[in-house]
Amino acid sequence: MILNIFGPSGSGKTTLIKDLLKSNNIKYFFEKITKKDFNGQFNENISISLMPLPLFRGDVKEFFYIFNIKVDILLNLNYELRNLSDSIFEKIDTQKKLEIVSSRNIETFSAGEMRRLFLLKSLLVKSDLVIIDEPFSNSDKKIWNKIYSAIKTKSNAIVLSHQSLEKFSDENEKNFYVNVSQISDEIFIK
Amino acid sequence: MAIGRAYLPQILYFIQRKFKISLLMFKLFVYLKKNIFLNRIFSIKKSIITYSLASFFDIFIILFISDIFNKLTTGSSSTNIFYNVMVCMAFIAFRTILVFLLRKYAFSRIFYKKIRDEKLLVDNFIKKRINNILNIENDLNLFKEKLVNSSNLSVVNFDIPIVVVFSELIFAIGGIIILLKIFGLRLLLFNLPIFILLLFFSKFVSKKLNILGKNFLNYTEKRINSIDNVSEIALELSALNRTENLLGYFQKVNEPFNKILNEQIITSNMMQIFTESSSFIIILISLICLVTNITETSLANTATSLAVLSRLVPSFTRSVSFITQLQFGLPSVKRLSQMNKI
Repeated sequence: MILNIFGPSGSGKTTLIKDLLKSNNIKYFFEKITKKDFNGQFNENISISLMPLPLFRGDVKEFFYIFNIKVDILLNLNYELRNLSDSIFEKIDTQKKLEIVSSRNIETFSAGEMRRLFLLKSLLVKSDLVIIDEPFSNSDKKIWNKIYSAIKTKSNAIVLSHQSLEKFSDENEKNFYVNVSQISDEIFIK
Repeated sequence: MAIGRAYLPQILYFIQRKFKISLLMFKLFVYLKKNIFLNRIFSIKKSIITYSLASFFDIFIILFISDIFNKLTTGSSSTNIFYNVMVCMAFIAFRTILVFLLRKYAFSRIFYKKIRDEKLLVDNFIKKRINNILNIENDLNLFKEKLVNSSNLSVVNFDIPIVVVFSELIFAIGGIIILLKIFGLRLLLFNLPIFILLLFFSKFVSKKLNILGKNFLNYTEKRINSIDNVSEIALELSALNRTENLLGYFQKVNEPFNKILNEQIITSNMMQIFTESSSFIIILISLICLVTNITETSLANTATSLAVLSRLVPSFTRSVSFITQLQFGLPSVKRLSQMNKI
């Protein structure tokens, strides 16, 4: 289930999310709009990937380790995540290629690759809710579908974007598309 | 012109023979000029001179004070005693103020130079940034480490020890000359085994501190990088409420870093304790010489020697302590000398 909050640049999407995180209301906010039940566990297991991206200086293996992700998982991804991974690194199908990728420094990736790498990390981390800010940023339009398909593999996601993501979704998907300007203060009252 | 060139080697040979400039001397001169440690010592010459002046004054004032001690031990009039005591106190107060002012100036000059060097470091880094654009991680970590750590270490573990050692050695030489005059060469011979033992021990400690110094620089670089990374991704881990791995990542660098600091302090303390113990033995031997009259010293000279020893022994302890501490600062001086390679 995706809750897509969209609006132009500077409309306050990231600020809204940061305020909700600060006040521990983000899951409550998600619950209120989507009717999803988190069983009262509001303060943890939220995987975030906000803009601007953090400036991490180290290699891929170190980066994944900090988020408790074993880098070997890159050899056993499902179809959607593998497509996303292939758009970041070259195809990883052998242990040798995995070792090369693992030892690559994060700052050597391009802006788009780094965005997708942080997105991949957020999707691989075990969490109840994932929050992704501008997932298509610096990426070619040709791979937007792959990015969206990868995000859909998560059961609960809040996606911030410039435009509504409705055009990517199928009829069967039960997603929510909310313009940030339509979010009233009432939504924050528990 | 062509004929002149043909005779050039002979002319040069003649000049070399004439002025006795050997190739070895020339090489030695070039080596000294390029030596980074000598260059750095030369750059703090004002501090060395000022600090040493303080030691010179110390020696002279001690001589005046010992002269008063001499008068006190030989005189009998109570008026003379009062006058001599007042003069002695005045000398001590004068010495305290003068030495404080001179040393304050010496340290200020060192830190003024540090500020100038750090400004140059930043300036060089900015100017060369575009040329090193592909080597981001190493350059940035090295730059941060130099500014945050090496710059401080060089001052604390090289500049200040050098300044102190120079001046203390001047005092120590003066004091030793006075003691040799009082006790003769016998004192030196009796204390020679202690000096040899101290030399071997300080060599062992110096080697250890040098290795620690190199490791400390490497771990500081890694630690700065680690701190930066923690601050950058703390938000994401906070939302997940899973900090164990990030803490482990930080501890992997922080623990060895602090262990090295701990080792350095223990090793420096070990040297200080050993030097102090050696000083006690030296004083003991000197007292035995006085009491048993092995060196045939008069009462007045006894008082002088005690005055000299009271200043010489801490001076000696400090010198040895600072010389070994220097070893910890050598790697950081070497690193800073590579400023142009940022």
